[in-house]
Amino acid sequence: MPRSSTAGKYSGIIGKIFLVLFVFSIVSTFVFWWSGLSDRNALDEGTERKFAGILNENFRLGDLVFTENDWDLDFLKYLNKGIFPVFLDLKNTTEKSVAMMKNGEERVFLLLKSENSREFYVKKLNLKVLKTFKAGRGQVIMADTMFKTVKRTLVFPRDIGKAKKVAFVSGEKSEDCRKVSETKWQCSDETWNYVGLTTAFFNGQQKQAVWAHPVAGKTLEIVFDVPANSRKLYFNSVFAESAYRSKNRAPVNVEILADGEDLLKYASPFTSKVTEKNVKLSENIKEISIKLTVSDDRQRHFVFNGYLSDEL
Amino acid sequence: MNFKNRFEKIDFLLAAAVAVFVFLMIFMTNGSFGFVRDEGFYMKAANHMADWYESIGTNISNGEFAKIFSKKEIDKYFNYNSEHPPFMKELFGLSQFIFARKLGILSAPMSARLVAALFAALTALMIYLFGLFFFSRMTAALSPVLFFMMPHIFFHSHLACFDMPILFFWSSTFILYIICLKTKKTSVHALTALFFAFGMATKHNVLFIPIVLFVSWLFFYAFSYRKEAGKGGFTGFFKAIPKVFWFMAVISLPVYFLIWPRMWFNTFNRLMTYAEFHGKHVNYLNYYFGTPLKNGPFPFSFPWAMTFFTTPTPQLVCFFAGIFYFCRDFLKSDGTSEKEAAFAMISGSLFPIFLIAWPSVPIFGGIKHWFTGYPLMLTAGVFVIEESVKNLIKTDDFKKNLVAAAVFTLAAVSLISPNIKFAKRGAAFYNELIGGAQGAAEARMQRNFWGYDMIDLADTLNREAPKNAKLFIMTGYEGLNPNSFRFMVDAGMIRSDIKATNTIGEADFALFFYEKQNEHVLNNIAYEFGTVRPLAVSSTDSVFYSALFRREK
Repeated sequence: MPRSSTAGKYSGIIGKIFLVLFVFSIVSTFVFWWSGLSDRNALDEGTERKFAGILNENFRLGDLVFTENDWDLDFLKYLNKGIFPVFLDLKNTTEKSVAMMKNGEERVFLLLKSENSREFYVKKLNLKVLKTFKAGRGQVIMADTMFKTVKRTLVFPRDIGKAKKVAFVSGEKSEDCRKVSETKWQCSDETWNYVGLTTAFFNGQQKQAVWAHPVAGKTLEIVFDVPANSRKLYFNSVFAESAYRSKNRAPVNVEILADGEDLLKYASPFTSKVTEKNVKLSENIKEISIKLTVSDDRQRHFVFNGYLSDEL
Repeated sequence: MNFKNRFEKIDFLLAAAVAVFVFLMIFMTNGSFGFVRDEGFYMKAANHMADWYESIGTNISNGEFAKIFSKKEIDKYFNYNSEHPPFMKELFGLSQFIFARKLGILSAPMSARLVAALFAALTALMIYLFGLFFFSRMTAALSPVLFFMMPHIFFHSHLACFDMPILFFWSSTFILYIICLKTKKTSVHALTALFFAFGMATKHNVLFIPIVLFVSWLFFYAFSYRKEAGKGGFTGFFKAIPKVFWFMAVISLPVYFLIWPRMWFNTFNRLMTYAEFHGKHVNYLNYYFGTPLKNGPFPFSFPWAMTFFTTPTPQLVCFFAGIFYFCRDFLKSDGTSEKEAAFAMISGSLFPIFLIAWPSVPIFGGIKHWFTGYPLMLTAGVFVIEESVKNLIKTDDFKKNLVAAAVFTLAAVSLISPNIKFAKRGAAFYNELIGGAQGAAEARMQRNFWGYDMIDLADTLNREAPKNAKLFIMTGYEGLNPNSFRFMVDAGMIRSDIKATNTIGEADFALFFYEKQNEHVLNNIAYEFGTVRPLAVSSTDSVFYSALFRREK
């Protein structure tokens, strides 16, 4: 016979403890999985429809949507097209990151599971509430940010469609990219070979960015007219996805010129971290040109964002 | 733990019933899961193997026997996916050769999953025998049922991968080793070495077995065995080494190399490349309580907490009870070999978890990399519970058995609901201790693994997609492996005219597999498609795992 597991005083007691735990586990399994407890925190359909209805009525292009709940996204099914971006990380979002995601006067929508968390997020994000909507058991806050940011005269991701020129230049030869939408320039039949709006992680924060994959042997040139009163350039770049882990170690060389004069020059380092640069602009600059080159273009999933501001 | 060889007629019936039931449950539900990332590679390798079997026939009929095992021929068929040993891929290929190519009764991918179902049945049989030989008939019959009622186990049992087979070989080798200690039979020592060889030819995990067992034996030798007659001194030491370790050299290694023909050529370099690949294996990013585990050192608690939260609670209690049983046996046993056997069971159960817990060892994904010892502690735990129930009943044996069976039946019934809920995504299961799927999502745990979860979306895709539509499959973001997509087409899960692409810009439809680190892809799809409104969503308990989008601009 096998050795008894419950022989002896202490073993007997421990055996009984395990039996009690086992019976308790059966009860907890029944209660949790059979009674609906496992689905207790889901949003009800009424709330989901209200969330979508409020956004459908009030959302304007450029607004930002943040959801408190990042796992029950059924409200998306009722949204009209054109309502995005939707950020699923309200819990980790900070006052500064919301403000920096905004490109101008856009508003912020918070979709909250209940009104209990309203004060917490309004305070945490330092929001000026424009309107509060009751949405079933939840609440939708339409707000502006109070975080003081400089006025942005030009935002690269938002204004990429307004670029004066997007082209691959090789010596005398310039191959213009074709503007296919307000946010995208297609540069060849290769689907990755475009310059346009995307989102990427910048030091853990999801942000809008410009996808600008360089090509070896050519210079990718993106030229913008500079709005009046632009005083300072902010420029951030990073490798999207896991490109920084590529065996290809060729850096992307970034060169920014203001009216043909060097303004900023660096080679992108091989980390997942963002390279953040800022530089003062001389007065009355007319044109700013971003030039990207690379010696080996495999996995150079280069993205950048940034803006010109009217304050130093 | 006392070993008793008591296989009786009824055990033929019970063991066969358990194994056949498990086989049918796994094989009949094969279409419930999409193909995980790894299956894409292994099924492609199986194609190569089936080609090799074809070529063997051709070479034999041409009288070119030497060509079959020439370097050129071997490299042609074995070079693909050479970072893993070939045993399972050879079996997947053989199954494809027979059931898909010759008999035409299964698709190529499903012929590979047939092998997986067979290994599930073998695992059920192994657990039955372990329970019968070391514990009781009731434990033997109940343990496989509880084992396969763990959603993660049920899920992995379907996959044409190495994880369940290596679980089978890992646990079998440990069980056979303790039978060696109990019986001292040379044939059992040889059989143990043979199982170890097949384990080595399946996956490298088992390479730790001789290290763990030999170090433990050395410990017991130093404190006890050397005092036995003829086992002291230099020659005594070598005489005392159990035969199984010698057999690992003279049986396991030749069998291992026999199974892996690629290693017959440039042996040293190829072995070094194999070792280097696993020695420098990349880490797969995992969210763990809101922290993205990117680079080491990783938290020691990771595999322990994941085991704690991904095992259904009845089986979790059995794990603890099983470890308690082995520890008690280790402390209370009189004989050294009994102590060594108990220690081997503790090592077999917990070493895989310890290994992944080591802060510098990469985290490769879900629990599959350390569940290899689960059968050992689960079975012992079932016995502890069974005995504890029986000790409470002060009547005859029949009533004791009846009450014990009723308790386990209740446990099995309670587990039906979570198993049905996660029938299509067992890798996403979290137990009630963390609040189930919702609790895990709130705690920011990794929600799912390996980009397979699209079966719920396939019907909508097949219905809505126009002819020759292109589907963004999100490869590179824990999405669908292009090979897996291809095999899903072969298996009839996805319409054959639909093409996969990894570029959103050229896609008509897009799959989105949610993980925290990939959230931005949702908005990338929205920018490209003009909408964030999904066409279909796959979810359990309202937690969404993946979604299908259609271009609207």
